[in-house]
This record gives sequence, C-alpha cells and structure tokens, in this order.
Amino acid sequence: MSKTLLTVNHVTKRFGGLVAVNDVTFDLYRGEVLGLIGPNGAGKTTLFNCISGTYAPEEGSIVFSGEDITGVRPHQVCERGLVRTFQIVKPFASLAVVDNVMVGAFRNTNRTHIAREKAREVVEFVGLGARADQEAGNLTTAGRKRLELAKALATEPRLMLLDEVMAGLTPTESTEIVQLIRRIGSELDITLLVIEHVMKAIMALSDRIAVLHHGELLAIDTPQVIAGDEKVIEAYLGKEYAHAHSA
Amino acid sequence: MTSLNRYITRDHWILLALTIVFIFLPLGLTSFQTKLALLILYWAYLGNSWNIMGGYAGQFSFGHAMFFGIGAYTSTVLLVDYNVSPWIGMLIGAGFAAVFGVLIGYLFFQFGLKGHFFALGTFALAEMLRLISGEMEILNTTIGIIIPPLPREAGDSWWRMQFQDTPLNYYYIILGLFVVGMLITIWMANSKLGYYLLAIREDEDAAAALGVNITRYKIASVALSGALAAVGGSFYVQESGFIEPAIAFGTAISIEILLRPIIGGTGTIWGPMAGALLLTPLAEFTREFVRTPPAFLSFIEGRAGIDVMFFGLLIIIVVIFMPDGIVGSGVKLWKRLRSGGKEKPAHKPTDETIGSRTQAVREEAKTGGD
Repeated sequence: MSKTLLTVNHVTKRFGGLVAVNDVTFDLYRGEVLGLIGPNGAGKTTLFNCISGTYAPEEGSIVFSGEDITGVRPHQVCERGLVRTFQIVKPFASLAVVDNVMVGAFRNTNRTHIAREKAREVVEFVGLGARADQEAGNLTTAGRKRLELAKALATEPRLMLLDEVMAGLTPTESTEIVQLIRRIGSELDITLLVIEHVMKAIMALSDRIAVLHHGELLAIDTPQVIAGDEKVIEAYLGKEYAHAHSA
Repeated sequence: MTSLNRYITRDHWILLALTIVFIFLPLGLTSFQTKLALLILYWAYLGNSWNIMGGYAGQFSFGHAMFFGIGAYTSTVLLVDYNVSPWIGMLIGAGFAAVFGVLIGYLFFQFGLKGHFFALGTFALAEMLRLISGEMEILNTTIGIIIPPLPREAGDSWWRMQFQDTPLNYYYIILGLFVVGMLITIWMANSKLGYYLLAIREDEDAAAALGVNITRYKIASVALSGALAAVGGSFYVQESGFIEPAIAFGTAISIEILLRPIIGGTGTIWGPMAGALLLTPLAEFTREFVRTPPAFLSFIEGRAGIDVMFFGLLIIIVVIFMPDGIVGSGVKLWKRLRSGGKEKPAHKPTDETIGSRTQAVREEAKTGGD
C-alpha cells in the first residue's frame, strides 16, 4: 500500500484569460491533515473543484488511490471514496436532518433502514443527535456546518475535502468544529484536505500546510516552517503576524 | 421495530382506510355522485403520476399530456386494429411512455434544460405530438378514433374493458389503478430513489457531491411518471369511448393533471388526492352553478368561462394562503400547533448569538477572511 492517497500533478485551470490554478503539484499522504491556505482569489476553491470533478482541469492530472480521476464527474468521484463539502453549505433544506444524512448513507447501501441506522450514527457523531428530526432549514449556522460534515461522512469516504467549514462561526463554535475535524481524522481514519481562513485553527489542525498564491503553489511544509517562511509571510500572512510569532 | 414495520408505513394504513371507504362509497351514492367519485380517483391517479416527476424530483412537467396521449392512443390502436385487450394495451402504452420519457429525459437533462426552460420544453413536446398525431393515418388524423361499442346483447366484456350493463366497473378499475399508483409512490418515497429525487430537487450540486448520478435519477423519475400517466390515458379512452389529438395531447389535460398535486401539495404523498378531493367536486359544482344559477345571478347563466374564473380565484387563494399546498401547509401547521409555540424557531438568532457572531466577523476581518 502506497503512502500517497492523492496526487495533484501539474494541474492548470483557466477561465478565459485568467489562470485560476497554475501548474500545481503536490502529494497528499494517507492519514494526514493537509491545510490549504492563501489569500482570496488564490485558487483554493477552484483547485477543490478540479479534484472533486466539478471542473475538468485543462492540464495535468489528479490521481486518487492509484487511479487517474482527472475529469471524472462529481458523483463518480464520490463513489470512489472522495467527498467534498461546500463553502456555502448546501443543506437539503426541506428535509429532516437525518434524511439529509441518509442521502449520503445511500452510497453504500440500497436498503432504507440500513441507510437510516448509518445516518443516525453519523448525526450523533457530529453532535446533532438532538436535532435529528428537525427540518434542516431551521438549523443554526453552526448546525448547518455540522450537517454538511455529516452528509459527507455518511458516504464513508477515505478522503474528505473541507471548504471553509469555520467561516461565519463564533470562536467557541470554531473550537468545537476543530475538535470534531480532529476526531474525523483520528477516530474515523479519514484523510483530510482543508481550506481554511481562520489561521489559528488551520495551524493547530494541520500536519502540513500548502500555500496558494495567484494560482501557484508557493510552499508546502509543516505549520512551523510555513509560519516562518519569508515568501509566505510576504504574500499572505502579513508582517504583523510574523512579528507576533517571532516574539 | 419488527421487520414487518419496516415495510408497512403510516401511509399504507391511510391508503387501506381510503380504499375501504371508496369500495363501499358507491352503495350510498346516485349515479351522478358515483361519476364524481370516479373523477376524483381518476384525477388523483393522474396527479400522483405527475407528482413523482414534478413534485419529488422537482422537474416541472407542463406537458404531461404527451404521456397521457401515448397511453391513450397505444391501447386504442391495439384494441381497434389488432383486437388486443386494453389491459395489455395499457402495459404496452406504459412501456412506450417510459421509453419516450427516457429519450426526452436524456436529451433535456444532458443539455442542462432546467426550471422554466424544462417546463417549456415539455409543453412544446406535447404540442408537437398533438400536431403530429393529427397528421397520422393510423390514428385517423384529427377526426379521432371511436372505440366501437359492443353489440347490445354482448353485455359486459372484461377482456375489452367495455361495460354497458355495469358501468360501475369503471369505478372499481380506476380505484384499483389508484391503489397501485399510490403503492408505487409510497414505495418510492421510502426508497433510495425517493431520497435521491428529493435531494436533487433541493440542490443538484450537493446531491452530486454525495454520489447521486443526477441525470440518471431524473430520467428514472420521468420514465416512471410517464408510464403511470400513460395508463391513465388508456383508462380514459376505455371509459369515454373516444380519443382525438386535442384530447390526448391538448394543453387542457396537461394543466388539469398538474393542478391537483400543486393545490394539494407537491412532493407529498397525499397532495394529489387532497387536491383531487377539493378541485374535482368544485369544478363540477361551479359548472352546475353557472348552468342553473339562482335568480339574482341569472345573468351568468350559461356564460362560458365563469366556472373557470371561480376555479382561477380558488387557486389564487390557495397559493396565497397555503404556498405549500393543502397537505404541505397542513403538516406545517400541525407541527407548529403540536410544539405549542414553545419551540423557538432555531434560525432566529438570539441576542447572545448575535453578539458572538459580530465578534466572529471581527475575528475574521482581523485574519483576512472573506
């Protein structure tokens, strides 16, 4: 069994004249949490969309678990065990929370009662047990984020792409979500690729961090090295942050 | 939960109760009232077929007459020209409609036809079939086809689905079809297919991300919905004895089919029946009312269109006061009453969360979030 789960190999995605993702290459290892950071418009979500099949990249390839999945459609990518969440959460608003999660659980079964059992389990795991039978549209922002995770988890993925799960949450809520994401990695043994803007959270969460800037991969290393990297500081973190950490 | 409970839902019990009521209903009714009950079942059946595609999958069909007409003509031609029993003709018609559904579904969805454009596309297809069928010799062009009545002494024929001595048999046939249609819908609503269709209706991208092959499932909903509607078309011809292009593929039938599930509640199991129970008698009574109005309203007597106006008014009222339809709004009201207003709506933020949320926004601004 190889150590590498996902290989992003010289991927380029253009929109007209704009190069959103430019020749990005990196490996994602089994069991790690890789943070993906970068200023607005750096191409993080576009890269996610290329990996999850929403876009087909113009150049390069994406290899998941030894299989080339470049240009494979989203539902087929999910069938292979790679699932993504959305930055702007997408609950099935008029369905109950548990029914939302059942849609994910049906990836591995055709039996309704098995999907329901699985969904209840996952709903408990993400801490929405008390709200299982509520309409998803009535959840709070934090609740919707947890639901977004639950739907993806129910597909029993090997790799999860999380797109800004913490955006819009209070510091307390963020802390709880960080703990939940840690448990997803450690207890469920799921490899994670995480886009996040909340610096403190991503530094604490990630084994390694990749920095995108103007669509290019600027650096990829441990959080400590990234926090001290001159290029990264200049491009993204700002002098204030660098100063605070060196002090 | 026992293993039987897994398959028998509350909706099965409701269906059983309804079936028993409808079985014994004609005993206490005049023939006019029985015909009305037949129409309720007939529209509930057709509405249910539309609901699978228009309600559950959220693919608004404005041309369901295409499936209705395919069913109507298939069984009729088979019976009149080839002496094939309408029971078999019905199934063949359903098969044709399903194949047609797969074909147009593939074309529409592959090329990303959505929302209004999908509705217009279905409308255009039904109109196209109306015009084409009017040109086809095998369908006797726009003149239409009469199902030749059996000789007087022949009496009833189950094989040919023609009843002159006991027209009540039509009532029991549509009751049977209604029960079968409802069993299919209840099964679907509790299956992977039903969950996937609702997910597609709510958010296609989110559904695809969870492994739902949205094109395939949308096509499946069109095929299933179309097959059921086609059987309704076959039944219509047998009961009325006549079919022509304007009836089979006309706009009137397309609109009548979707009215009841929309008024009753789209994407709910009992919406089409609720809509049929309300609208069908109402349509009959307004028609009757305009035909013989009370003295002080004598000026509306026999004026065409007044009954349709009443109808339109009612639909406007329902849309304003019950946007989720009778069943949808009823269920919401029931939930609200049961929680006794104690439960605070979760999406209304309290002062506390507003405070901490502004803090979160500030935090994010500091870290350069978007």
